[in-house]
Amino acid sequence: MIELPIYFLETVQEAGEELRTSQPYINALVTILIGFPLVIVGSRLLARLIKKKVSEHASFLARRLAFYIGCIFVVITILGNLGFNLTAILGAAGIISAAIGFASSSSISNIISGLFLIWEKPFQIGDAITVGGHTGSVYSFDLLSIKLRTFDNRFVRIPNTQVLTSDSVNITKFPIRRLDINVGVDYKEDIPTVVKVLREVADRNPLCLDEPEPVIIFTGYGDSSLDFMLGVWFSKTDMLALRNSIMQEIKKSFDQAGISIPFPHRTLYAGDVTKPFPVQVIQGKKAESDRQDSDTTSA
Amino acid sequence: MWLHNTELDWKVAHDRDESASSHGEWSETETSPETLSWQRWSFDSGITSVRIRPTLPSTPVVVRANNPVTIPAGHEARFFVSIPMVLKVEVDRERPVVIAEIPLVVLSKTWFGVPTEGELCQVLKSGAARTLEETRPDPVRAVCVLQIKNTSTEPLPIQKFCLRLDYAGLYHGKCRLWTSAHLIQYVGGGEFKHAHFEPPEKFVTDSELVLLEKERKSADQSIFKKGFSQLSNLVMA
Repeated sequence: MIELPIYFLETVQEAGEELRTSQPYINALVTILIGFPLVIVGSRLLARLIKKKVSEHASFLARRLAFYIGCIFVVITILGNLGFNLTAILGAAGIISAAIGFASSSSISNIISGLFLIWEKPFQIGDAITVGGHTGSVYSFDLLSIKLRTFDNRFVRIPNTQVLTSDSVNITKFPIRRLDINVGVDYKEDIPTVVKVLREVADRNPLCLDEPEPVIIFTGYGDSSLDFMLGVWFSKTDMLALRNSIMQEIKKSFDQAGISIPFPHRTLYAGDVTKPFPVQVIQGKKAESDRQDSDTTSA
Repeated sequence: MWLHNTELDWKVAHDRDESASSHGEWSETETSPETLSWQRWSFDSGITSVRIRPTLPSTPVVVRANNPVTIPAGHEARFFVSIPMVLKVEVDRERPVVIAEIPLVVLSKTWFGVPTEGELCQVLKSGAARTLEETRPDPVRAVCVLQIKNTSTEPLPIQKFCLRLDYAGLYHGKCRLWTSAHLIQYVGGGEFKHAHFEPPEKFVTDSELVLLEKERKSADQSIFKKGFSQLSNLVMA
């Protein structure tokens, strides 16, 4: 009768001992289960809160920064729960960081380049840019690289160092752009008439901005054509619609005005020593019948 | 314009005929061309009422003076601008839903400002007249009176100006449509103040003015509240 309570007490004592031993692990588990979701939700909430006040790019960066800082805080808390000596860990982390730093200089270089890019702000998320031969809209801007979504929906990753050191073009930085169209006409055409027709095409197209005025330049004497450049200004959102419509309208207007767009011409001559040799172009069927006639005659 | 109503849906489409001479007529039987691009609206209950009325363009309109003009110091100038209307199609009288806004005249786009900063506008090629008689009465156009007062000590040259008509109301007169009058005061050094719209009664001879359409944006968001740097963009020399 007395043994049972003693056994019960011992069992409870052992369970308490086990609980004490496993308490740090439980704490760590709870920190993981609560901490990381909290960091994710918190960083998203922060981005949503500041989205209306700052640019999309800045809110994206704030979200990432909050996420990384939160993760570091959670990891340090977990290590503390598990009883690790944080001072020693941080000391070791310093040494390891230095070693990793030497080993991964390109990564460090990318991070620093990323910081310079954040400071310089040459583009923002959503801008259409060209870097290293790749053109697309900026999809994300991370610590090591930027990601582009090309217009044919490919994903391109470009290291920050490359972005910083190479030429980059921000296509959509300014609200309006100019579309330059090179067009050649036959040498027999009247230059003022061509200029007039091109101006009318630009005036008629509702996507061409009236101001700044369209630019029409007679660029020179080409191999086979008189070359012109028509530069029309447009709102950056109208690029494709304008390009499609104005190219068709130029051809149509030239056809209506009787202006021909030439194909390359080549003039062959045999030089001064011999006289030019005659070339006669004859139709296939006629040539065949002529040949048969001559065969019959000679027979 | 074609409107099609089924039990729960409304469909609207439009096409342009540049050669048409009349201003169109209402027909309930006309069949629509197959090439039309329809815009379809679905509602949760059957709606049978439709209202078609004129309204002003929502985007700013840039107007050139027919001849560039300079306003001497201490003087004021009045301009009359003929603004093409937009056709607004609304269904449901109790909870009106705009299902289409169709400009009666397609205006070209233009940029008001420098290429790096400015505002996308529409351009009115007919220009601004100095007298009302120069603007012929047209059922699809409303007259906007613009008055610029030069209170500075320097002359004010004007080539073009930008009308933000979303702050203006639309009025029906005896023989014309009118917009609110736009008043601007130039104080010198490229700065303007007191830019605002007001009912056109005191500027027009039309005695039977009725408000057809209120302004799209209320006065508290108006250009008057914006900084002087933006106001200076109202008129470009």
